[in-house]
Formats: sequence, C-alpha cells, structure tokens
Amino acid sequence: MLPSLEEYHRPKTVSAALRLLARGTIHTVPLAGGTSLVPSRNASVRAVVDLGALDMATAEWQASPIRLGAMTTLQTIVSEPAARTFAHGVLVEAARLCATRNIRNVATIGGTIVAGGPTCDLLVAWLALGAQVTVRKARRRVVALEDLLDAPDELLDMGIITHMSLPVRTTSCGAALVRVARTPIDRAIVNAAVSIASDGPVCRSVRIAIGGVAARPIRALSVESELEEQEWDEVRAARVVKHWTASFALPSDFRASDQYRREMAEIVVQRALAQAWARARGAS
Amino acid sequence: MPKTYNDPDQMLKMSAHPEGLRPDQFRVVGRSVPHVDAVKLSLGKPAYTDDFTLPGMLHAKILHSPHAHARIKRIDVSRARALPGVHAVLTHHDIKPVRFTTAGQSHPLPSPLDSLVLDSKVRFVGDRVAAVAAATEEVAEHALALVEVEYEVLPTVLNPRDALKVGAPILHDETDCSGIQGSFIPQRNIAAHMEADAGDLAGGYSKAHRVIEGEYRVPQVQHVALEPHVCISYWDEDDRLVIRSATQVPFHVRRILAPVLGLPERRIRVIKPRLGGGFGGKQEILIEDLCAYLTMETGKPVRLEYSRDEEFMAARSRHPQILSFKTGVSREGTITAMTLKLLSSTGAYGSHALTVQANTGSKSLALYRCANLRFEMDVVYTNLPPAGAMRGYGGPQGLFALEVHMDEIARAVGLDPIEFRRRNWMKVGDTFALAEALGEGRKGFSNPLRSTGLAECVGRGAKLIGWERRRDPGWHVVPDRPYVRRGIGMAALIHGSGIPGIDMGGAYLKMNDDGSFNLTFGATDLGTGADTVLAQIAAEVLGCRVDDIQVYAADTDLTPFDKGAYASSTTFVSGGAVKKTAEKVAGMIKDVAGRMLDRDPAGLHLADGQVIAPDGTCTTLREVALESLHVRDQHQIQAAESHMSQMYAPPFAAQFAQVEVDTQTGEVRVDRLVFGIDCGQPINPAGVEGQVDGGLAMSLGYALCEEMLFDEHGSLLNGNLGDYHIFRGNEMPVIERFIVSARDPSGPFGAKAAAEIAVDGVAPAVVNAIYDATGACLHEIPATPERVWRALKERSA
Amino acid sequence: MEVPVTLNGSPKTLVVEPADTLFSVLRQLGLYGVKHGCEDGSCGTCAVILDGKVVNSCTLLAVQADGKRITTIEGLGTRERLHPLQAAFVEAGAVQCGYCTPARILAVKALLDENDHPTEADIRDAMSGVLCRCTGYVKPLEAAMRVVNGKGVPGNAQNV
Repeated sequence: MLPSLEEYHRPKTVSAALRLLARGTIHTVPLAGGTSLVPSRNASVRAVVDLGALDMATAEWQASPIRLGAMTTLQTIVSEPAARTFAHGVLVEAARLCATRNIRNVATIGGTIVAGGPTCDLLVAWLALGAQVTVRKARRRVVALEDLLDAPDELLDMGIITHMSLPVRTTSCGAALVRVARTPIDRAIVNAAVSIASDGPVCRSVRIAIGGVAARPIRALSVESELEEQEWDEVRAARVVKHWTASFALPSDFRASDQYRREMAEIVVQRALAQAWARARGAS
Repeated sequence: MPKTYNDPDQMLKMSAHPEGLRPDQFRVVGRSVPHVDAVKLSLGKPAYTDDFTLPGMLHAKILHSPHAHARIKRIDVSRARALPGVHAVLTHHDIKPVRFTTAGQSHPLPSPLDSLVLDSKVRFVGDRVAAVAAATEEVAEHALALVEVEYEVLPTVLNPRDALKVGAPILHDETDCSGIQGSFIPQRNIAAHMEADAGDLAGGYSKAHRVIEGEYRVPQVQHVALEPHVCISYWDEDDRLVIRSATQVPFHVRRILAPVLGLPERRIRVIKPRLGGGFGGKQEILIEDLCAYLTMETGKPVRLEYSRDEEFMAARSRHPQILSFKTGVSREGTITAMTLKLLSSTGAYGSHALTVQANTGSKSLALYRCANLRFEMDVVYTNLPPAGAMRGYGGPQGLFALEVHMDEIARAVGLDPIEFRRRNWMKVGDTFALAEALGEGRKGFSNPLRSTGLAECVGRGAKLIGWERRRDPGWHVVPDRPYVRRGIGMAALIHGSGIPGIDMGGAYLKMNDDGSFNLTFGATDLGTGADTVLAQIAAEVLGCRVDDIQVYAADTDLTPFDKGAYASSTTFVSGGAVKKTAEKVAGMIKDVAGRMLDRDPAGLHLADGQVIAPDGTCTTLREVALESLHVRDQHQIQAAESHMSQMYAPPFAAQFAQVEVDTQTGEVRVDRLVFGIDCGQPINPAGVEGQVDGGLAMSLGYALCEEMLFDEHGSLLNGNLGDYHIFRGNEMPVIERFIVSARDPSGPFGAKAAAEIAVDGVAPAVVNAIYDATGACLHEIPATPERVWRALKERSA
Repeated sequence: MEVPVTLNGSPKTLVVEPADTLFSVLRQLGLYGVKHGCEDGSCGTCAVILDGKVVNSCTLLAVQADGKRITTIEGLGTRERLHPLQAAFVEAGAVQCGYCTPARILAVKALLDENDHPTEADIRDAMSGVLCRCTGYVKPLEAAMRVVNGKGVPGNAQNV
C-alpha cells in the first residue's frame, strides 16, 4: 500500500518522465514493476511515474555490449534462449533464485537494481559480469553497477535507469554463482559470483562479487587485483580470499553470526572461483 | 447403576459394519472420493469468512504494544474518536474485566484464565492496547495513530529459566486470574506445573546396564495458515449476536465468550464458513471477543482481519521446549526406566500451556514399553508472543527429543536403531503407565493398546529408503563432491485419535423426499476433508452415494455440538457420532421398507440407494421417503446421536529421511522422505495422503528452517514470509508414502486418526540422518546451516 | 480514474483511485477468488493472469492494468463445465483448504497457454509464487500433470 498516493502518470517520453520526477512540490518516484514499491507502505510517496510506456523493455542479447532495457522483466531473462547460454546460464540461475514466478513476471532489471537486497543473486551475478548502468537525468551517464550500489541516492536522485549493459564474453570465459542458504530457494545467507577470463593457464581478468557481507552486494576488488594477470593457482587464490575476508567487519544478525559469515564468505568465493575457472577452461 | 449414554462395550463395536461387510467390500469408505467442497473452492466461489459483507459494515484495527512489558498509565483516545469515519475506540476503560482463556477447549477449562479483552497492562510486543472500528480500514489505521498512550515500561523476562528465578519480573500479578490449583502458580511465573510417576523409577534405573541422558531444544514456530484470522460480527433481527469466524472451535467460542461479553450463551450464534487452514492457530478465541465488543459498542456489523504481520506478531505459535530425557536400558536392550523433564516458555498468556506440554509427555512416553516412568513439566510465562495449539500439540516437540535420544541409546548399546526400537515399542495388549495421570487437566483413561501397524510401517519404510545402505561406508561419500556426505535416519511415531473420555461430537441426519439426506454436525472442516469423511461414513451405512448426503456443519444454532477440530478427533469421535446416527436412520428406513415390502426389517439390506430383501424384492430410498413423509404413518425419518470414546486408539507411523550434508557449509538437503502411516481403516485414502504430504512439508520447516527469533527487547526479528521461510513447491524432496491399516475396534469402520502424526517425524529423522552422514549429533532444531556447522566443528574438536 | 481492461473476456472500465491495488478493486467487484494471505507478494493467493502471465494482484496498482487482459478464476469454468485444470484438481485430491487453489490453477493455466508440453520442473517453477501449507505440493503437481498428459477429466467431476 502507498497510503498517500494521489497521482499516477504514464508519460510517453523520458524527458516528460524526468520533468515529473524533478518537481520539488510533490514527492514523485519512478514505478517500474512495483513489486517492491507498491507493498512498501511508504507514506511519503505522493506521485508515481510509470515507466512502462518509455520503450525500455527491449533486450538486445546479440549487441556488443549486450544491452538490456531497464524495464525488461526478470522472467524475460529466464525464458530467453540467449540468456541460458550467456555466462554459463548464471543469470537464469540467479533470476530463478531471486524471485518466484509471480514476481519475476512483473519485476524489472531497473527495479532490482534499486531495491535488490544484500544477497540478491541477480545483483551479485550482474556485478561479477561487469554490468554498467545507464542513468538519465539532465544527461545520460553510464556508471558501473558497483558504483551505483555504493551511492544510489546521489546517482539516481530524480533520474531513471534506462539500460544495463553487459560485456560480451569469449569462449575462454567462465562464470559461476555459489550460495549458502537454509533451503534450496531460501534467501542466501552469503552468495558469490565470479566471472573469469583465462588465457591458457593465466587468469587474464577476474571479477568477484559477494552478497551478505554488507548492506548491498560488493566487488572484492583487492582480491581481483591479486589474481589478475597471474597464473591460476587455486591454493594461492584461497589464501588471498581468506586474507580478504579476515580483513573487514561482518554483520551478525538473526540469519548468521559474523563468525559463520566470515567462513562462508571465504567458501563461496573459493568455490565460485574454482567453478568459474573450470568452466573457463572448458572442463565442465 | 444409572445408565450412561456412552457405553464402553459399544465403544468397542464401533468398527463393525452394520451390513456385515468386510473392508474389501466397503462401498464408499476406503475410496478416494473428491472432497464435497472441492468444486466450489476450485471455482473460487465466495465461501470463506471474508467473502461476505453487510450494509454499514465497519472495519476494525488493533493498536499493538511496542513494549514487551508495561503498564498503561494513561491512554487518551479523544483525537481518535473525533476522526470522521470512526465509530468506536475501545480501551481497557471500556471493558468489563472478565478474565478468560483464549484457548478453545472443553469445560472445565484446563488453561489459566489470564486474559482480558483489553488490559491495563501489556505483556508482549504485539499485545493489545486499543481497538478502533471505522468506516474503512484506512480510517481505522489513521485513528490508531491518533491514540496517545503513556506507558510505564517494566523489566522484561525473555527466557523461561530467567522467568523462574527469584526476583524475576512477574507477568500475571493481577488478583483476578485463576487456574488449576497446584499447577497454576502465577506468582512464580508458572502457567502450568505437573509431575507424574508410575512404577518404581529408582528400581528401574538400578536394574539398568546403562543410563543415558540428553537435553534437547525445540523452537517456537508458526502455523502460517494462508488465511489470516478473520471475524465478522453483527446483531441479527432478534438482537442475537452472530459471529462469523475462521474458527476451529465454534462451540467453545460461544461458551467462552458469553461471560466475557456479558451475554447469555443463547443470545450468541457462531458460524464457521470454509477455512483457509488453521493448524491449531484457530483453536483459539483470538479476535472474536474484540470484534464482538465493537459490534456491541457500535450496534453495527464489524469486520476484523489480521494482517500477515499481525499473524506473526500477535497470534499463536508452537511452544518452544527444553526437554531432558534420562533413560535406563538393560543389557538386552530394553528400557527399564525413563524420565522426561520439560521446561517450556508459553509466552505472555497461558493458552494451552498445561495441555500441550502434558501431551508431550503422553505421546513421547507412550511409544515404548516401560512401567517405570516420571514426567515433570514447568510451563513458564515470558514476555514473548503467546504459544498455543499447533498441529501435533506437544507431539513434535516430544517425539523430536525422544527419537534422537533413542538413536543415541542405540549407539551407546551397540544396536541398530530400528532393532533397538523393535525390542521396545508398544504391542497390542500393552498399557501406557501414565495414561490416567496425563489426562487434559483431569484424570485420563487407561486402556490397553488394541491395534498397531508400527512394525509394518517401519519394515516397509526401511526397505523403501534402502536402510541397509547405512552400513556401506562407500555410500555415504558422494563422488565428485568430496565435502558432501549422505545419510539415512528414521523415527518411530505415535499420536492420538481424540482425547479419551473428553472429546465428544454430535450429529443429526434426516431424509428428504427424493431419498437424499441432510447431515449436520458440529465438527469443523478446516480444509482437512472432514465434511467429506463424515459424509462417506454416513453413505457407507445408508448404502447411498456421497452425493446424496448434503452436509451442513459448525453452526452453533443449527448443528449439534462438537468440541471442534483438534486432537485428531474428527474421524474417530465425530465419525462415531455420524455412524451411530446413520445406523439409527437405517433402522427407521428398514422399518418403513419392511412394511412396504411385507418383509422382516431385520433381514433387509441397504445398497445402491435401495432397500433389498433376501429374495431380491426391493424398493428405493426415494420411495421409502415419500411413503414415510406423506403416505402412511407419516413421520420424518431422522436421528440424532453423539459419541464420546474412552478408548485409546493411537495412530502410528514411521518416518525415514535421506539427506546430504555439505560438511563445509553445514547445509542440509533432504533428498527423500519415506512415510508409512497406520491410520487404521482410511476413510478417504487420498485425503490421508494429502494430510501426510502437507504435514511432511510443515515438518520439514520445523527440521530445517523455521524458528521465531527475538531481539533483546522481545520484538520478533523475522516476522514476514521472506525471513520466516516455509517450504515452497520447487524445493521439496521426493516423498514416498504408504498406508498401513491396523484397524482398531473402537474406530468407525476401524479408522484411527491421520491429521497430525505427519508433523512429528521429519525433524528427528533428519537429525538422525545428519548423524549417519557426518557423526555430528544435533540436540537442537532447526538444523540450520550454522547449527550443523557448529556441531561439525565440535565433533572434530 | 477510469481504467479500461478486458476482464474474463469482456470489456470493463474499472473506476479506481491511484492508490488502489488491483486486488482490492477485484474483490470490490465481487471476484472473491483472489485472496488475502500477506501484504507483500510472498504468498501468491491474490494471483491473476495479466496479459497471459501470472502476477500478484496485491503488488499491482489497479491503474497498471490499463488496457490489459485480466483473467481471474471466475473466468475459467462453471460447475456445469469445469475447466480441465479445475476438474483435475478436484479429481486428484489437490484441493484441501482451497485457499491457494484459484491462484495455483491460474499459474498452471498461464504456463499451459504458452507451453503445452511442460516438464515437471516447468510446472513447479510456474507454481513457485503460490505458497501452500496444506498439500505439500504433491497432488497439485499430479493434477497439473494429468492435464498435460491428457488424462484430465474434460468435464464435470462426480462424486462416488
């Protein structure tokens, strides 16, 4: 329920939408699928701008980089044949884990970027796959997803996410998603995704994303820089990861103690690295 | 000797078929007929409590306490009352203070009378502070925000051990609460205390070769029925108060509310529509009192429905317990003495406090033979949401601890877990030594066991799960996944078929001109299929189709009394009433038909909608109806009977689980569940299967992920469906189930209960399987990844 | 606001406030097949089919349905002519309390309308948004598979 909602708009151009969002007089927010916004009981929202008529639902899987409209539903990711072969199907796996069918039929990429929680499997997967996000305000601006998650208000205020782009992948790329949860489709306690590009025995580049260790999913940048442009060594990688997880404070809450999170963070990253590497090398 | 209505000799003849048929000859009983309401519900017809509206109906909302323990020093509702659209605002100042229990149970009430409709003290986060009735839900919500409350915050106590300490904050210091003497000790925060002994305990331990002890913990969990609690109350044209409610206990609601509302019982009518699940959460007068009060205050129909948040925070839940077992075992592997001590937190109010925990004793101590028993329980008030009745009613708690304990004993004495149980489980002729001591707040009935299919359930189940694979070390390891281990575990289970000597239900049956019947009874179908099962029993006796029986139930004006849907009593007790009633009607039909056919009524048979003489002469039920209603010696063919049984006819079951444990993360995945149930004669096999399937899913949650968690202020941390996870359809293990029919002479056509036992076994079977897989022994559920991870670390330490 | 939709095959204009959810509007129209089980889209008992896809009506503003096709359980069958899925659910014993039944049937219907040879995994995923505390999900799956395999009862379900 949005108890104070008075106005509903469904503009046909992005500029019209931005004008509505920029009004200072009445608190106006974008409405994508609404699966997070509508039940939020946010009493400050007095107007919504439905983004559904802005032609932002096109998904171009053959483009380079891949270009996904922000209003693309999560179910589109699951059902799209190209998504199943992209990055070893990690996006399909993540979408299925993130949300049930009813929600996926309505929830959008843009909405998930804004509202996805600390262990949202799609956010973790997108981070690892190098997602960039296009935000329209006065101008278009392309930002890395991890920067957007870090400073959402500043970057998104009165703006609209229009696209996500994902770099294309070569056959020597591997990706994997690993999670720890109470049941097969319960929300993850911690989860990690890795995308790795191999060049023979060398790890050319790697992106590691992890959820459940901070308010939103983050990249393990220092681990990445230690592993890139190095010969792949699972033992060394495990050590680097262990060192990294030991270095910062972890939340302790009803889902898990910080002790358990720390060890699980290590395990999910190590496993995701190992699986992604094996896939990059064509082993599985 | 004065004649009694219920004759114990007759109780043992309940299984006999009036036409002398063998079970394989039954016409309708034993068939999986579709539920009588299934078409209606699949069409989405307005059949539930909230699918109903009356002109001028108001909507009610409750102001819940933000504090776990506080006195209301001052409450000012003037601004709320003044809001346009508000018709009433109630506080404790507006209530005639009559202490009652919200527990829906028979008289004399075994739960403490410790609740008021609105009190000047709040005892848990979520407790009632005030209530509003307004033209719309939105106005009512707005009015809640205008209520001004000044609290004197009191110290809280959040666990039972602290609540028992000298100097602990006392929740029920009021002078007008009351309970069973010797059991109810509110000045010590004790809602229920009980001790019971049988035989020679000291002697039993001294004869033991080994004495094994263990302490086990089970969490507070929630029903999560999909339909929230909802009630609509209104005055009818006779100025009688009608309460339309999602309740499992309409007759208890009427009786318990009368003094609370200051209305005589005869001016109250309670109607139960279709329910969207209850699982014991609706065996409670949870919101009807407040809804009715608002109707009395405003003169208007009032609707009160809980949100899902309120379901988590301010409804009822399963009692958490700490259980200590101490068992003596002989060299031959037989139990010589057993003690169960249990400590439970009942939350802020004591509904079902005595009876749930007493049932823990009477289930877990009645499975294995032992003459030397001791049971002790303390059920303690804490500033947490109250526990109450939940499917299994003490059984899941006790059987978890017992069946993990039994595996531990088996290991200690070097016996296979099944073999150890086989040497000890109850057989036909055995008696439960504490049966009389553990009645529901009064003396129970002791009788010998007359039927058990446990051995067959265990034997078949063991084959299906592949029990012998446990002996193969190679099987426990999973190729390609070096950190994963597999295991198999089991649990033997017992439950009850109603409460002997207490539960009673009545039925009424009349015949219509076309040969069809109207069957009414007080029994409450909450999605359990009770209406169908009872119609099948009647149809079996009358030799007609289920379609020819029109059922109407659970209306305190129009149907006979029934204690309601709990204790797995409907088939066994209410079914007995229906069978007796139908047999009377059958006799009347035969009398009329005998005259019509000029044949001896005693020789007539009822089959296929006809009345048939031995020589083949016959007439139809329709012709008999027309004759009796209109033509000669006119009378309405009708009968009303009731049934109460003192007999003990528990169902049995065997639960098996195959799991995989990730030894690095502690994650447990259940791959297969095998469940064999002895419910005697299944009246509707598909109905039994459905109850089993749902019970196993609920039990999986108890085993792996469900627990209500609180912060240091007593606020619920995970009170929503995302954080409190119940199993979904796309993560279920493979379920294999089968029915064993060890018919009991005291059950209608040999039937025993099936409703609750399926919730009892997954937790112990899974924990036993985790041990088989990893050697780590858990004494606490749910077996979350972190708990298993810790247990694995302890095992390696 | 006036919101034109196609409701169970017929054109209809919903008169709504911006804050109204599709769920509350449908119930006010007397379509009680959508049920209240939660307030955040977790339970799925409010589900309808919107432009061919099963969605929660409680997390949609009514106005978001503008120009769309809505199917509720009332649009499927009647007592005289049950939809094959309704008949299958009845026959298979898949209806216990029935609270989730309309939503579950709609979820399977939406799947079958776009894929008439789904696997069991497809059906489980299609139903994943609707919780059930009564049936353990076994008989509903069996009922759906009966229809997929053409063994469904095409007309009425009869009691013995």
